Formats: sequence, C-alpha cells, structure tokens
Amino acid sequence: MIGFVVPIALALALLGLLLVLSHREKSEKRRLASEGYLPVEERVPRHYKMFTVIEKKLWSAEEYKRVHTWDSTNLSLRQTESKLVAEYLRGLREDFGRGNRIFGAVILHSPDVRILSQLERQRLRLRFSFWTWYVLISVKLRMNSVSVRELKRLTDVVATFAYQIRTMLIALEESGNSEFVRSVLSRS
Amino acid sequence: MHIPAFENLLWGLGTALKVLLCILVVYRRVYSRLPLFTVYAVLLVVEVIFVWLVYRTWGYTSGVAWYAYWSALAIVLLARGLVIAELCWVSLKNYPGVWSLARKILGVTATALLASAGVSAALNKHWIVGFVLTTERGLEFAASVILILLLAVSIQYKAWLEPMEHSILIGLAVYSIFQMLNRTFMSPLMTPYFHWWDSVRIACFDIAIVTWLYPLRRPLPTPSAPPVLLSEEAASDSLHQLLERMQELTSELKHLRKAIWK
Repeated sequence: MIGFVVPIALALALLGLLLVLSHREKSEKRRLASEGYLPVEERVPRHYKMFTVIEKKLWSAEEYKRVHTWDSTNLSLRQTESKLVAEYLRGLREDFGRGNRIFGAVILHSPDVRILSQLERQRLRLRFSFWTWYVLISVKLRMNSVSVRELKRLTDVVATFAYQIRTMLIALEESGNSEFVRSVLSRS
Repeated sequence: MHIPAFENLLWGLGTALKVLLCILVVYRRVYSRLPLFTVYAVLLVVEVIFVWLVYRTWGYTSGVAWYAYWSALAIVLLARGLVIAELCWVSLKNYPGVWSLARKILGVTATALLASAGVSAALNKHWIVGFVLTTERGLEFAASVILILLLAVSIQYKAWLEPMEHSILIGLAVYSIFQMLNRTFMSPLMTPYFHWWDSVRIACFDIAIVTWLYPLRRPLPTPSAPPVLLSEEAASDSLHQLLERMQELTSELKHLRKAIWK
C-alpha cells in the first residue's frame, strides 16, 4: 500500500508546490510592474524611521499608567493604539522584505559559490530571527498587548539591516557601479 | 492487439502536435537559443516515425519492435534530461555563483540516477528494460524537483525566465509529475481500477506540447539584456564586507534574544 501512497502523495505535493510558485511568480511580477514608477527612496526600507513617532503616541496614550520601567512593561493597548502598532509592524515587515529582496539581488552576482552559500546562510538566520520576533509581537498584539522594548529591538534589527544594505549600495555606487545599483533596485 | 478509438485519436493528435512543434521550433529559430530543446523536438517526431516503421515492417510483437521501442525511449529520455540541463544553464549562466551550485546539484543527481539505473539493469533479465524504467522513474522525480527548484530560484532572485524557457519548464514539470503518477496507476495491480488512466498518460504529454507551442504562436521576443554585472573584484570585495556585517548583525540578534528572554 505504501508503495502506491508515497509516489501519489509526492506527486501531489510537487504539483501543489508548482502551483504555489507559479502564483507567487505572477504576484511578484505584478508587484514589480506596479512599483515601476516608485522613486528610489521608496524602494529602500523606510518605515522603521517612524519608531519614535509610534513610541511618542504610545507614551501619551498610556500616560495614566506610565511606570519607571516603561521599556520593559507590557502595555495593554486600546483599539486605536493597537491599530497604530499593527500598521507599524506591517511597515517593518515591508521594510524587511524590501531589504531582503535587495540583498538577494546583490548576492545573486556573487562570483563564487563559497561566499554565496555563506551569505545565504546569514540571510536564512536573519530571516528566521526576524520572523520569530515578528510572530511573537504580532501574537501579543492580537491580545492588545505590546512591549516597547521588544518593538524597539525589532525596529533595531530592521534598521541595522537597512543600514547595511544602504551602506553597501552607497559603496557600490561610489565605486562606479551606479548602473548596477539602479538595476538591483528596479529588480527588487 | 486492439487499441481503443479514443486512444488512437489521442495518439494521432499527439503526433500532429509533435510535427507542429518541430516545424515551429525550426521556423522560430529556437535552435539559436536552445539547441538541445530543438534536437529534442526533432527526436520526438523521428521516434514516432521510426517506431511506426518498425511496427509496420516487423510487426508489433516482434523482437525487433521490442528493442526498437526501448532504444527509442532511452534516446528520447536522455534528450529530455539534456533539455533540463540546458534550461538550467540558459537561465543561470549569467550568475556564476548560483550556476556553480546548480551544476554541482545536477552532477550529483545525474550520477546517482545513472548508478541506480546501472544496478537495476544488471539485475534485470532484459537489461534495457531495467535501465530505461529505473532511469525514467528517477528522471521523473529528479526532473520535477530540479525544475521546481529552478522556478523557486528564479523567483527568489528575480532572475526571470524568458517566455519560451518558462513554458518549457512548466510543460516538462507537469509532464514529469504526471509520469510519476503514471508509474503507479499503470502498475499491474492498479490497471483494472484505472483503465482510463492510459488516456490521461497520453493526453498529459499533449498538454505539455501545447504549453510549448503557446509562446511559439508569435515570433519570440528578443531576450532581455543580460543583467548588469559587477566586476569580479568589486563583487568579491563588497560581498565579503557584506558577509562580515551580516555576521555582526546575526550575533547582535543572538544577544537580542537573550536580552528579551531575561
């Protein structure tokens, strides 16, 4: 029986994967086409810069229960603040996605397989960490709770990643590879 | 031996599609971009003509027909494997790092496949049947995995495939996946319950050919310009710097995890 079930299950899984990938390919192409007009500044991570604004809003909204350990307290949010944080989180996710795509477009040009696999390993680790914290904060947010410290740390991760990407692009641009940088940004 | 009319019709349709594919591939000059795929398209027609001539001359149940069928199948199978390798090469040749990785994976897969086919051939009474069947089984699985991986890589790195290459990939992947199912449904134990599957088996290759014919209905667009590349030195320097920074960032993340769990 296993002799029949395994190949059928395997074939169906591969067919499903092919369909999912084809769908993803179409949506990515659509996204790139719709973003064709975007200026360069909007093609790089930028939402993380809003952190201080969000923190200020939370600070004033939670005034009545402010404590000395503001950073580490789990704040119970009202609907308005909860929506605000959710939107900020979505922005962080978009930033990370953008950074990740630029990173992918650059490492694709890796001249040798050794450095490519090392960079890919780092990228996987980073993705894993980001998504772990992103899911954790999102779950807490669903229960209308957030810790400013955790949000700040996640922002730091995205900001540092964005900074590394930006530095790399600037360095490449300054070394006379501005066409390459433009092509990377338009493809990611 | 009696062949149902519907299967006869499918066979006729399949032959017509193969001839049309062969003509269009030559007419649209696909050979300048994909020479091995062109050879494969020509071989599909040659196989049909060759097997038909042998059946007609020596009879369907003759020993000559038996060897002719399995030899033709082996050659077409080899050509299909080469088309997959060509597809990977054409899609990834501009990216030396990724291509080098893909080449290793392809090499290991092909070696494992041929080794297992060799063992199976040695154990089978009719070596050619053992060799072709094992290679086919392995090829279908390996082909579908490699083609899906290629599609995943092209999406991940935004190294988009040209329309013709994309159609070949989808057609071959769907066909290989169906062939995996065929091997199961066409086994002696299952045939009585799924006698209609033989028509599915024939039809799925026709679907693959239609997928390949679709982009050929118009002249093929000029391939997009090769990506702008960094000089090897610049790429190596900046990627090493990037790697160092990423390592720093990853270790920072480790500290973050510890700090939050405290």
